[in-house]
Amino acid sequence: MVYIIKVSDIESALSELSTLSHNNKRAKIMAGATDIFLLIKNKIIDADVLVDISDITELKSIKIENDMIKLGSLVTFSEILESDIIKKYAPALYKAAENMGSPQIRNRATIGGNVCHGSPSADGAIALIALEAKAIIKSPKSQKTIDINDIFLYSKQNRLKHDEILTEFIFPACYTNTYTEFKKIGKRNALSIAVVSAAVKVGVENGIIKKIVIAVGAVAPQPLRLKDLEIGIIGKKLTDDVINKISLRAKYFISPITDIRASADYRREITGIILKDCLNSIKKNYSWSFRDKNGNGEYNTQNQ
Amino acid sequence: MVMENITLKINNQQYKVRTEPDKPLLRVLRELGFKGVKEGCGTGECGACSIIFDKKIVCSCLIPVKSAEGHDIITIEGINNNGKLHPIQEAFIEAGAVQCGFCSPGFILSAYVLLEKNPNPTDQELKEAVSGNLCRCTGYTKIVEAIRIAAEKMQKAKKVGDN
Repeated sequence: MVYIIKVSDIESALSELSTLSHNNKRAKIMAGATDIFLLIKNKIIDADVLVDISDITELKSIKIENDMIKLGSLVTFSEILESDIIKKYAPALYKAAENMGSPQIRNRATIGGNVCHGSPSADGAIALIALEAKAIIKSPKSQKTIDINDIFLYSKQNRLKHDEILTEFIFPACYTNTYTEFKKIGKRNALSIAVVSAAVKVGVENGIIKKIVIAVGAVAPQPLRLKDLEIGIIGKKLTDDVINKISLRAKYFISPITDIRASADYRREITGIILKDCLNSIKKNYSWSFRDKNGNGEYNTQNQ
Repeated sequence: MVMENITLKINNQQYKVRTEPDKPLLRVLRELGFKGVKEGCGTGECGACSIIFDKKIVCSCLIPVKSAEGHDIITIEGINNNGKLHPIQEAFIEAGAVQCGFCSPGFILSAYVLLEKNPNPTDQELKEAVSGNLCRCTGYTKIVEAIRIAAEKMQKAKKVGDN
């Protein structure tokens, strides 16, 4: 049996975690509980105490400040879908939320929990990697900002210490000229854990790729940024040829396994295809129109 | 095993229970007599245990009872009007959308939450609203029809009420 301690602010949460750690009690943080409660029920993980932080309202905000989106770690996937800020300026995350779980799950599951659980197929995590998110981690004595990729260890472990809480994600808002896409292949339309997923962010100016960030899900022991695949793409034009090359090279940078959902071979092939789909979608959006942040510009119907 | 005193607000009434704090809310609700809340999969994937929690549809199998303290719970038993069936319940019967009935409470509550917020949903919105509920009997067609019929009933009732 596990004890449950409810806290209503960050200081109390940190204080509880500290005290429990001090007293050699194994404590875990619980937010929406959709992942952790099952792990506890099925005795996959052990804990003495669950610290229920779901009532901490200060971690539930979504703001945009100085062109940076600040996303509280306790924002639920449903709340992400109610956010105009996310819909307009972080479309990949919005799309990931649309494709995650079910209404019942989305009403409880938090973006922070999704990242901290760190499943290789975590939809929110994949989108946030592509959005180049950083995470703010608070502990009783300090606060630090780390790259989201540094949170994950393999096999659903994370690097957070016993007395640390992830409070917020920060990432650049995607204005025009920056395109994002998220795609997921699963075995059904809802409540579907990704067989393969991908999120891509591309910054394009005058047809030239200024920035590219690629994240893939369910093809490695943790949510994965494919930095090696991004190399050499900056400065190239967003053409079918470049997209094909990225798609063909993807399989060399992933390490999929065979499990109950799909074979490693299938995942290896599909990763390239799903990336191609993402990039083609971005290329199509780019071709329809481009305008700079001030709203000036013209419609460009040419692809090259 | 340690027992705690926990107070729950269910269907607008207070209930005091003494139980393990990490017991799933689903079990506690059934022990309190709310047998309309069904245990299907126990892992949040079938929606049979759906309840309305602070006006949102959730799976009660995924909520430890201690965490439910201080929140507003509505079960299927809570939507009728002094014994008169809710229009959604009526519609499910009229449309033939109930076979074994095991999934029905979950579907009806998902539809309830949808129609409260969105009285005239598109087909897409309707299907998404119940995408967390599984049915092994009906093939879903009559369930979707039932929710459509319910939406119309509720719109009509509202017009009559407004006049």
